[in-house]
Amino acid sequence: MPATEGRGAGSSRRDPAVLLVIAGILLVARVALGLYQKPAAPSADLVEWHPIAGAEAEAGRNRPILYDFSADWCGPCQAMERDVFSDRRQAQTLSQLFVPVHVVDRQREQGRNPPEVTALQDRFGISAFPTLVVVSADGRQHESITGYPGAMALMARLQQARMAVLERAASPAH
Amino acid sequence: MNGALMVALLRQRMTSPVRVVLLVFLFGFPLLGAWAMQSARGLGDPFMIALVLGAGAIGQDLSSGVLQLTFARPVSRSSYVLSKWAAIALASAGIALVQLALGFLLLSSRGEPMTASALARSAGETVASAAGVGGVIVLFSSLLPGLGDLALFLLLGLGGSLMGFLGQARTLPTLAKIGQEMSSFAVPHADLSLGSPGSVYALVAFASNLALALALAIVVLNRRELSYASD
Repeated sequence: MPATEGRGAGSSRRDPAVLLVIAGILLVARVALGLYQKPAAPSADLVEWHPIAGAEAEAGRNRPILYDFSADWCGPCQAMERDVFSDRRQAQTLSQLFVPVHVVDRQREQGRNPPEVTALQDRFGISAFPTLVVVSADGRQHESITGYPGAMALMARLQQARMAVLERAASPAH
Repeated sequence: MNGALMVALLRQRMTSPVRVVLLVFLFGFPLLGAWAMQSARGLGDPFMIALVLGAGAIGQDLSSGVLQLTFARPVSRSSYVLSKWAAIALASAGIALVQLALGFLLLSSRGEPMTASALARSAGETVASAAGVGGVIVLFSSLLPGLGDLALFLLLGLGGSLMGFLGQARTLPTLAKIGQEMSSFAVPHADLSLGSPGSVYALVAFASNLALALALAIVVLNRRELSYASD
């Protein structure tokens, strides 16, 4: 016969009243925060983006251009925006080391892209999002990173790509 | 919490060759990536480690009849659930932290040093995430016998990802949000990047999921009737 016990004080089957209260409070706080934060969500990006047109003029010997090819429907792009571009320190690092340029694909929403976006996508052979391309100031050297490998790995790979591009641009053979 | 139950769970896990092989692989693979490709991917992520350690934590006790024996002793059901959770969370956090420390040493030795603050944040996220995954494992394991909890993880994780993808592709924010919430419940990750927009919500949602998972696991187990009859 199954063992049956009460659930009062001293019972081995007492329900976790304190834990249930904490869970309830956190659930209410979560719903309230979710409703409160809804309108503020879009202003997350802290990177100082430059327009496509002026990027080459802004770039310098130690400050290559960083093209971020993305699309609004792209999940990994949103994760990258949340983890990297919305992080104060990482956004600051990107803005200092690069001339960041945000290139958003509108093919799916509007049927076609502006000519300058198409030209950049064709130039670097963009076939997936996100793709980050580090380009030397003279535009002759570049390194691409496709996909989002996580914040720490991305920052490390961007630093590597920057060093590779700067070294090749500065080499006598170049 | 009950120390003997915690030790018993971990000791039992270490006698399973499949689990030990999987743990060695999960521990070594991200370190190999850090060494060969200077990639920090997967370092200090306790999710899979906790899953290997914790899968069937309660369900296997239930299907093997160990649960009846355990509750014949003076052990409360809440203490049993919390002990299972603590064992999974502490062990997976410990393994992931060692992996994280070795990974950072490898990355530093290969010219990719990480800042102390990044390391501290990753370590904090590792410990918190391990607690979160442990909570979901004990909840799922209290619902289904054997390794049925793995099926629930697959169902909720894949279902959530699919709904999130469809919601984004078809521009249906509600569907995308439901999918995101399902995924974040099945695969809890503590984001300690405080200061960025949405970070407070993410942290409260994480804590809410953990408290809810533990409370529900205890309530479910309290209402489970165990048969002490023999065949």
